[in-house]
Amino acid sequence: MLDRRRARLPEVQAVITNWRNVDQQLISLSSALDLLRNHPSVLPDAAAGLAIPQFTEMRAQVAQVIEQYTAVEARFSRDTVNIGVSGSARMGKSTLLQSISGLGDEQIPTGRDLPVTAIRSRIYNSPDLRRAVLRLHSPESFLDEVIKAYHLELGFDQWPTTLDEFRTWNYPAELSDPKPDKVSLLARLRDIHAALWSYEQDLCRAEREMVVGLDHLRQFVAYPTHESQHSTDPVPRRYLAVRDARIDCAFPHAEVDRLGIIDLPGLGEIAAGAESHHVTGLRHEVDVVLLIKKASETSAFWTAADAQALKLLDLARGSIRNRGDFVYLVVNTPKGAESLADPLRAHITHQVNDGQPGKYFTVLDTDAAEPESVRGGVLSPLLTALAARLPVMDEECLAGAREAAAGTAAGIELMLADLTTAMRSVRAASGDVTETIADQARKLREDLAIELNALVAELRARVMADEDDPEYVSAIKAVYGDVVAWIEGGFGIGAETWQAAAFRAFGTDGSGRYADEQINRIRVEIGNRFAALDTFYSGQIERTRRDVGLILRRHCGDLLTGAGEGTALLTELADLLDNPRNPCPALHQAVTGLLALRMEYRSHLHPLLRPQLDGLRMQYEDPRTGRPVAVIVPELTEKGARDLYVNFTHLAENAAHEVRKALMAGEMTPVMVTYAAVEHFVDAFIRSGASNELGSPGSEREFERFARAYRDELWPGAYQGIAEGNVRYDRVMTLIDTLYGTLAEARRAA
Amino acid sequence: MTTDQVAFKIGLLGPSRVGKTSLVTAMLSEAQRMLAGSGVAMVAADTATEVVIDGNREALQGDLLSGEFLHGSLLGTVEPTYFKLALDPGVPDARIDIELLDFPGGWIKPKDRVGVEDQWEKCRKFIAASTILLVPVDASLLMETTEKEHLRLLPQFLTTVQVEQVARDWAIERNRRPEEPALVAFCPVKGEAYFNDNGGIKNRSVLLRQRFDTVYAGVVQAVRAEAPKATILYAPVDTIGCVELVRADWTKSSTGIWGFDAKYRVRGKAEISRMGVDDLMTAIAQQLIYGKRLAGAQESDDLRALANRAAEYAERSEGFFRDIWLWVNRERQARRTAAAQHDREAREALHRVLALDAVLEKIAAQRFGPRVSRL
Ligand SMILES: Nc1nc2c(ncn2[C@@H]2O[C@H](COP(=O)(O)OP(=O)(O)O)[C@@H](O)[C@H]2O)c(=O)[nH]1
Ligand SMILES: [Mg+2]
Repeated sequence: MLDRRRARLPEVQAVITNWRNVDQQLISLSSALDLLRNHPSVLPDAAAGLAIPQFTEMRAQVAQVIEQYTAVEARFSRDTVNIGVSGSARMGKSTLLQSISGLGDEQIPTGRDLPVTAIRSRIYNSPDLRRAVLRLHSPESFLDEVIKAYHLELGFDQWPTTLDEFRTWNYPAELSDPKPDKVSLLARLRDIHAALWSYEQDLCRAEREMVVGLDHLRQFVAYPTHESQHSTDPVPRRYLAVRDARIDCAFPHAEVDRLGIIDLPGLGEIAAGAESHHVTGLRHEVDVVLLIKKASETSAFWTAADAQALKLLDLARGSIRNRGDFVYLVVNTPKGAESLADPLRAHITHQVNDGQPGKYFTVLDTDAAEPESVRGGVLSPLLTALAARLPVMDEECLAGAREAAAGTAAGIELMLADLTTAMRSVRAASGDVTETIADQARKLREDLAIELNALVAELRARVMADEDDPEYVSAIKAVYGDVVAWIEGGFGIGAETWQAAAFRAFGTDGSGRYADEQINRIRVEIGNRFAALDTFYSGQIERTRRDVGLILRRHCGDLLTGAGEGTALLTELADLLDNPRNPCPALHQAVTGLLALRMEYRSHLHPLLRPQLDGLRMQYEDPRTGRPVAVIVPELTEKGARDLYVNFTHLAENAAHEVRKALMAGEMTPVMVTYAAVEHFVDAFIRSGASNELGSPGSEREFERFARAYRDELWPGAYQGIAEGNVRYDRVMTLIDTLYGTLAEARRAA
Repeated sequence: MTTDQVAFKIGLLGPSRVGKTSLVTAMLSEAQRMLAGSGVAMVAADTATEVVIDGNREALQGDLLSGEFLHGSLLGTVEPTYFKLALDPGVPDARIDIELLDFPGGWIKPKDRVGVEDQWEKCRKFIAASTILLVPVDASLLMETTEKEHLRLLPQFLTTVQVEQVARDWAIERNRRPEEPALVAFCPVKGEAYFNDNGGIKNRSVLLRQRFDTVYAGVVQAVRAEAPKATILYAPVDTIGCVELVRADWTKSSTGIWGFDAKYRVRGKAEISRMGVDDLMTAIAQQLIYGKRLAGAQESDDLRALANRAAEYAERSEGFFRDIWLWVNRERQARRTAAAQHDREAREALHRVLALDAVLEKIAAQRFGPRVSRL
């Protein structure tokens, strides 16, 4: 029977491992979900679904499954069939244990009135061995589990953490609040303190286990006797170093050689809160429990306390279906108490078995003090029953664990399915990096197109406006005003000086030379002065570049923030577009085109306006006769000098006026130039198609390249974030898969 | 033949300072030049006209002497000015009176006529009776205005809307008299700088014509629509000739009133060199001749019918050409008288009357210069 159990052990252990893994993976999944949920790339809508609902409950269920399987594991790993013996004090429990094990008071102390059992033993039938194995406290575990408990109970807010501290601890002789239970507690603690000398060496042993001959066991398992407590000698208390004791000895009636009996504390003997915990422990230790009740003057009835004890024991039954399979009642009838047994039995039948003997619980009869009676009345029927029922109980335990596991697994799988759906929506929202870059590039191009088109429209409106470009008009006015002022100011030297110089020159060279020189000087000067418009033109062009640059910068994240404005910014962008790994030839050309835009008076306008300066000549051809005519042939007098001056001012003013008029009426106003340039730029930048000549795949594809090349600058943090978000996402997905796998494995193993 | 009813009437339409007086002066001067030695004289027929024309000539001489002059174009209304000229063959009752009315454009808007309704009514009647409308056009305004803000001021400064209104009324009236001639002559003035046939270097006449077409399209269309048979001429005139524009500026006074200031200088010798005035005279002569022919071609019954009809018109106090008919009859009467009397003096008179006829024929027969075109 035990071997059959053994065979199934690995399977159970595998399942336990799986469920432990499930628990770990749930924890990991939960924290992975926390990370993902809090990632900026996850939208709040999607985030809501990224959690394990009732995580704590789910883990509790898993713990429950593990606990159940662990119970099964404990059950299946037993070398012996373990019988737990339970019963209140004075019911003959130790007596019964002695009868079964053949041990005496030295090993299983019994006493008349005082409780004597300090350490409960587990006793195993062993044909060859006769010994006790004691598991000892370390100083730490002793202080922590034993001494600290006393301190807490007594309301002390400190406790010793080393033996030396404990040794020198100053315990008060009296309590400030002398409640009776506290007083006895303090007395016991003082006893323990006083007896440190006796068990200190045991605490400090290198080995945590100590094998003791059975003849010397009592000091380790029993309280000091009444006599010794009252002697003047210091009272030794070595049991204080013992955690638990296992006794191996040959049982006298070796009907079943692999048998163990476990001394269970009477249920009244442990703290109320600890009872259910104790019961859980029970499950791992025993296959069946005997609840012993002595027929005596003082206990002739099945009391409420007994009913409570039975109820608690029943909790340890776990998945075992039949209450009677797990707990047997034993009526202990000592010699001379036979008359009391019948009413007790009848009462038990009435209270426990609904009036029908054996309906729920089997009631065994024995005289605990009589080994023969115990064998015949308890062991034999018990072992016979167990032979039949133990495999059934095993099966039931396992089935119970499986059932719990299946339910829990289903719950987890349902949760995982929901989670997978939620994850899909996260994925749909974030997408992968490549896809996102393509989308972003498209969006960038669209956004730029909208704003650049608006700029083009604005420039077009300026070109088409009913009004002349007021800035251009005033720029022309300013230059014209400057030229006129120069003329009216006597060609830079003053009318009188000019005329005096003319008159002087008349004397040496006649009128021709001076007039020729002056007319040329005037022509050149007027041309130069109009060239001051270049400042305006270059300003216009720079402003256009700035307008375009600002739009580009606004949409390019961090890429162009350090690049200055206008020409500087576009130059930087042109460099960036000239990227050998992600070449954008069309975009590059568009930008360099805008950078190459020039509008200069001298190169662009002067040739057009030059004919307006034609009047500034000394001679012209009469259109009527084809013969040359002198504009003026001044008298070589002061009046002649004045005439020449007046004439020249007229010619100069007219030339300036004509240039101004031509500029105003000109086909090429600056806003037309910038409009045409920006429109061309936008066409080339946003709308160019594929071109073999340029080696360009077209604007749309180049935007993708641009986006790829500078994604982290264009969308700072976004892609780092996406990568990070994806790692988090993948982690969750992996954990979901792993969990599914683990659950499947657990199911397979079971 | 000194009453309004019997004079050959010419309406002058254009803003003040555009050059109407100068144009009349130039026409008088040109007529005198053309008639020299013909025995026919062109004279100022009343003192007022004489005073105005003398004043104009003097002002012009002053301008020419100073070498440069500014004239501004301003908006404002003026009194109507009547010019009275006469083609005088030296025979009493044989001269042709020519009356010109410098029509104040501002009066076209009813609100501007308040208080001068009588004068307005007189002007209206005059225009209705006019055979010819002369529309001086300020070429420098057309050519020197480049800013859009200023271009928008052009109709206001050229009074094109008012000119169109008056021209339309005139054309409607002309259309009611299919047997009478009708002529509108648009005369760009102050345009010396845009022609190279009178001392200028550059020929920008095409551009001038384009600007004119654009700005005066409405006026031309109105006349064409209402009087399809009317002759419409584009006849640029240099009334001075020896000047040209130096520069021109649109200015805005502190009170927000716009003005156009043009600066002219004298070019070459400071001698007046009219150009295109003879074309104008030719056109006018053609109208006279045409009218006379119309009348002369219809002797006998037709003549009577015409006379009756003319009498009808006369009842509307209108009709130079009824007088032309009378004039033809007078000629015949004169010839008959001469034959009967063998009077030397009478023969002489007849001769002169015929000379007027001849000189008009001769002027009318001249070909238009290249500046002129029919619209
Ligand atoms: N340069 C130029 N000046 C002209 C011409 N006709 C008139 N003017 C000037 O324009 C000014 C106004 O002329 P005026 O005949 O008094 O104009 P009105 O008010 O229409 O009668 C005068 O100073 C004239 O000398 C022209 O053909 N050329
Ligand atoms: Mg006048």
